[in-house]
Amino acid sequence: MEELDIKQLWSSYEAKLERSLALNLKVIKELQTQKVAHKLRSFRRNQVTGVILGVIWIAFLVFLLINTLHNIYFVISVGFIILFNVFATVAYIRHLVMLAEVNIEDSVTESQRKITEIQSSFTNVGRILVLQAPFYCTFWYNSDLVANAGIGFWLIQLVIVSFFIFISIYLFKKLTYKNRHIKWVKTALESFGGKTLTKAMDFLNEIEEYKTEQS
Amino acid sequence: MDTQKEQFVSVIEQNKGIIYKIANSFNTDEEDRKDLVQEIIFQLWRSFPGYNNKSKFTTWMYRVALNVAITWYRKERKKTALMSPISENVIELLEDDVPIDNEANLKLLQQFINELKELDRALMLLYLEEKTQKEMAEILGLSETNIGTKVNRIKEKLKQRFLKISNN
Repeated sequence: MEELDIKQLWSSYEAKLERSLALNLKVIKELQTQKVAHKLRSFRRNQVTGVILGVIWIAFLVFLLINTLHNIYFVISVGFIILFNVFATVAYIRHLVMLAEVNIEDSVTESQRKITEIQSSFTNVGRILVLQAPFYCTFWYNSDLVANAGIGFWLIQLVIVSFFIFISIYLFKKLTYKNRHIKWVKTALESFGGKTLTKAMDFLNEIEEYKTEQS
Repeated sequence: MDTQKEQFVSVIEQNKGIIYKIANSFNTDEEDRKDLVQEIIFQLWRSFPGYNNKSKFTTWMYRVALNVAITWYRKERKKTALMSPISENVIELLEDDVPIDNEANLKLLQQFINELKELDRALMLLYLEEKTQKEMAEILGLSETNIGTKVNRIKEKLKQRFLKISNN
């Protein structure tokens, strides 16, 4: 089939559609009055909720920190937890800014790139938050405990904290897009919403290749 | 506002075929296609006040509609749907007794389009709609040289597909 035949085929399809397509004005009016709630806004709503909850959680942790300044172990552990949560909250605010910058009137590659970047960033926040896990094992230490606990206690603590440090760093390093060829990483990423990340990164690469490919 | 609403209905009426063809190329399931058509028209209406005459109306419309269709296609469809979807079709396909010559080839062509990756699919649609390379470049955000290369590659693929079928 030659190019001309294909174009003719398409124009006869167009002519058929012209004859048979009818607009439902009632539905258009409903869409125009925006009586319908829209799920695309749910992502924005989730990010706003994330920011509010993040701020409340950080405020609560800061309040605890200020009232427990005498305990250096608590200050260090909760201090780090606060930093991780500040990071996540700032990332959520950044997503809202990025979302506001998405314009569906932009060219297809440009707006799809922006949408995809938000998706990949969103999934990465969870991966980074994994790193705060070890600090949840140490915030309850205090001077009395450090002075009086026996060797058995510290050995158990060492095992627990080391395990959480190891596992959180390991997961942080492994659960990345570039490791998706490893079966368990792929499964884990997909179970924790990373499928979106994988798809997003694939598409980002595709857009970049699409833009640069010349021959 | 009422004038704007009427203007919008009028341009959608003139270009309903574009919306239908894009939705059809990104969604073959009838129920999902109905939702995608609603979504495209909803987003066009939301963006309509921002349309300035810098580019042709159809160029603007293709940008919005293709962006919505690709985003829709890439997400789980149910998640992007209107929360309370309207049960009726915005664009209805009425019975038409006049058959298209070579209906089998049209089906094959549609199947070919549906198998392409999102960006190639958008490009193929624009090519079939006889858009100029300049318009395609403007809609997709690519250089004209790049468009030329890609169109030739897809055309070649399509030619091979039809050749393979006719040889069988």
